[in-house]
Amino acid sequence: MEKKRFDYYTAISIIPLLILFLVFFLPLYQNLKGAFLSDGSFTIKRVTESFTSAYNRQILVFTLKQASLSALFSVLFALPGAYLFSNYKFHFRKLVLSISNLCFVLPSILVVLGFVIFYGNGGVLNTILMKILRTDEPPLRILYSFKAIILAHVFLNFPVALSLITDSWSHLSRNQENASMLMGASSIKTFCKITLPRILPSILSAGLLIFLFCFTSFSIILVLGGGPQFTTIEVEIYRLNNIVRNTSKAAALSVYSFSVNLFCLVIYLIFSSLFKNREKHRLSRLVKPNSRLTYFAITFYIVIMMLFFFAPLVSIIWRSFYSTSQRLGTGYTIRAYKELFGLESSLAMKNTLGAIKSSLSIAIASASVSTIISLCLALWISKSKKGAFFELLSMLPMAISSVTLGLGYSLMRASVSDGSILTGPMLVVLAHTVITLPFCLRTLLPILRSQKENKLNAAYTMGSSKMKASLDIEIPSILSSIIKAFIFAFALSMGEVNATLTLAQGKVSTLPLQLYRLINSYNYQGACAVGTILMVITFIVFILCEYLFRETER
Amino acid sequence: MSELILENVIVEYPNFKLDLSFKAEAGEFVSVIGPSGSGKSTILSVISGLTPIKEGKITLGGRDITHEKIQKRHVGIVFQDYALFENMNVSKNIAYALKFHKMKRKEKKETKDLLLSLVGLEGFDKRKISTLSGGQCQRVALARALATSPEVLLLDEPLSALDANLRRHLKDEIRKIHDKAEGMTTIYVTHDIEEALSISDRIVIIKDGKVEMSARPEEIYQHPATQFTASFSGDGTFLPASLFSDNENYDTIFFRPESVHMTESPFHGDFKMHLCLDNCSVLSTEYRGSRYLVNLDFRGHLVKAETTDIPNKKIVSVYIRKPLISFFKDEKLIN
Repeated sequence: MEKKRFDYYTAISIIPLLILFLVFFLPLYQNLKGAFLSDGSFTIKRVTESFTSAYNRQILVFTLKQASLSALFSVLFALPGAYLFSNYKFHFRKLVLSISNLCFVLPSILVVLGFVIFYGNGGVLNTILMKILRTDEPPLRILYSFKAIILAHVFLNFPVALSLITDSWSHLSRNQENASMLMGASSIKTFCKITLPRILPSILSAGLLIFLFCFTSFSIILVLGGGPQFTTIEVEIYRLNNIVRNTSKAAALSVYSFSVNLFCLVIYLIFSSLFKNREKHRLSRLVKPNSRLTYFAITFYIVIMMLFFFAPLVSIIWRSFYSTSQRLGTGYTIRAYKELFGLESSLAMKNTLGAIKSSLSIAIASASVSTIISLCLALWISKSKKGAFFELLSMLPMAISSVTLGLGYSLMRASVSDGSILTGPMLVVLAHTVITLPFCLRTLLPILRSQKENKLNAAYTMGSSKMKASLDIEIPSILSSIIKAFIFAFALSMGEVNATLTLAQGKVSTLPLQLYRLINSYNYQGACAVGTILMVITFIVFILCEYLFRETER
Repeated sequence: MSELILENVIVEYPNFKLDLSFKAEAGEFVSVIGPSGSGKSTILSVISGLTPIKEGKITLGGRDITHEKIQKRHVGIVFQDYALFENMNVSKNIAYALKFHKMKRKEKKETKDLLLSLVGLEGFDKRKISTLSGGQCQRVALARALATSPEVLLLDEPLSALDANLRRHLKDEIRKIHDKAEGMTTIYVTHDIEEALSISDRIVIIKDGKVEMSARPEEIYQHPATQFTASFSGDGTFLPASLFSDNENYDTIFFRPESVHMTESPFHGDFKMHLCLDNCSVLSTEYRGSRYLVNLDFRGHLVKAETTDIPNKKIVSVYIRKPLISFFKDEKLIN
């Protein structure tokens, strides 16, 4: 009977695997070809060069440094919050936690914009401080520095740490702590000996994940860093390919980046699989705060967190209605929105409506393809004995950074004729599919694995075929997760800058790209209007996602 | 009529081997019982086709189903965790089983209503699975398993997740349902001997993947074929035979607590017909509702006796009628 089951699930996995091969391994192959082939003959020179060059080593050191520091500070900032959120019951606890989930769908380019608007020399924070301190000099000069990069990374990633650590901590039984204290251990000793060892894995794996995100961070570095001393591997690949136009050198560097990424990913995966077991208990760990100090700590943390989190975002909305233009007059105006919707003509904003349309269609297309492929693969992987290997294989797109992927795609485009369908938006859709695939798969696989196998067995004994049982029972019972995966992929695609920027070359315009261009041309009001639109879409997506999440939890 | 025969069925896992033969007559209610890890559930898995077998043959109603598809075996199964489809309501869960049988719409509805009333869930049609209690889930699972009129019904510890009162009640209902479905064979896996003794036509005791004994409940309890069966099927006392005689035909004797008579004065009865244990000291007394179970020490060995009154003295004598004693040699019963 085992063999028969293999048949249906294998059948649905063949086409997705083929597509995965086409959209992922082919571009990767192009990268390798670009790196190793010179005038049709094999050479290892360029790759060894990129591995040994002192300049690249300096870039690597910087990349590692910013990623480690970002991970460290994100975790440190998240830890007190994780303690409060996993041990105490209070008003708005759930709400604040779901808001922290927002960062999973928040486009990084939006964060960049928020930072420029809020922390910039002429930004909101400096304007307020200048008024308070009565000076004409901006007291805070943090933008375009190392600090700004770390701050932006912490902004984007500390909620990841908060929600991962809280999730694991709040699922620990309090009984072990109680037992320890009944045996006479002090609360500090109990924390160090009993609690800490149990939450340590989640702290470390959150740190590693953030490290991985920051290692391949692109748009934040590109805008907030940018200078030669603040360049990461990703930005350097982009610079080599799109500005210097030395494609083969970029490809060689991308091999370098891929190797480092793969190393980090493997460590992360090994690590997170080592600590999978979760304690099972029924009693809630949450208790009511027992002292005023605790109440104060909770309020303080939430206020700081909300200020840190929302101030830049709210300033974007405010700034979209506020003009500082000498030529068109200062003050509150809805000019940017008029331009955006084509009611007033403007050179910089004229493509925005088109960008909204193409962003939406690219996101819908890539999210659909990605969801269907990952569903088929997840169904197969969860049943197959060789599943673990293919799971790893389909996680590989996480290791290949999106800039590298974009490079692979542009190399692939160079090798097909101009009339081919593999140009422009189509390529962007495929690239986004690859980028979102691992996230969809990670959403679907655990939930499929947690399904009781006996449900399918029961259906078989009633006479249902594998396919029918899968369609009638398996897929409907994870429907909300499938929709969640789709929404997640949609949001990721909506905010994607890296691959799109590498690939678009002026032919495709999406909202984040438009945003990037407007920031670069210092049209902040326009950028903020576009940013607000992007934010609104993100918020809608986020609220949908939260609603579904609550459904699945119940 | 569908008798179920397992012949030399072998299933191998890295550190466990199931190797057994047994037969369930058509319409028989057979309980399979054994300690955890003995392979009880694997037997159900083998019969339903969920676990492939390495060797052996399975026949159901004369039909060789060893390599038959799961879908065509005509078995109904109730899993320990019920495995209800949460994405469907009660009625659809049951109707799902009818989907694969050619039946008119009206007939399907009638069957469904009949099944719901059979398990005592009239009016629960539209209820969501998540709103049901454990006992109700169990009934839905039972109705669903019965929907296809299976030739054999497999129950995998169906009551283990329920509280004691409900267990007793549902146990009786399961037996009634079995009796109503004429000719249907039921295999009931449990680890509770009292449940098995009260409900079954026959009990199969499993240990380490092998059949220890297969017999009527009375036989199992009164004449256990092995020492394992004796200890597994209820309270009792094992004593080394060397305490009483040098007969080499047996090495251990066994008797149930209710066979033991306790007296606080010396025994004056027929020594030929009885085994008498003098100078037993009372260790403890357990109240069992209708009677007391008294734990005694006889020359360093634990002796269990059932009495109507609490013993007054610390030292007592007990005697057992010889026909009620089982004699074992090398763990096996001798006649």
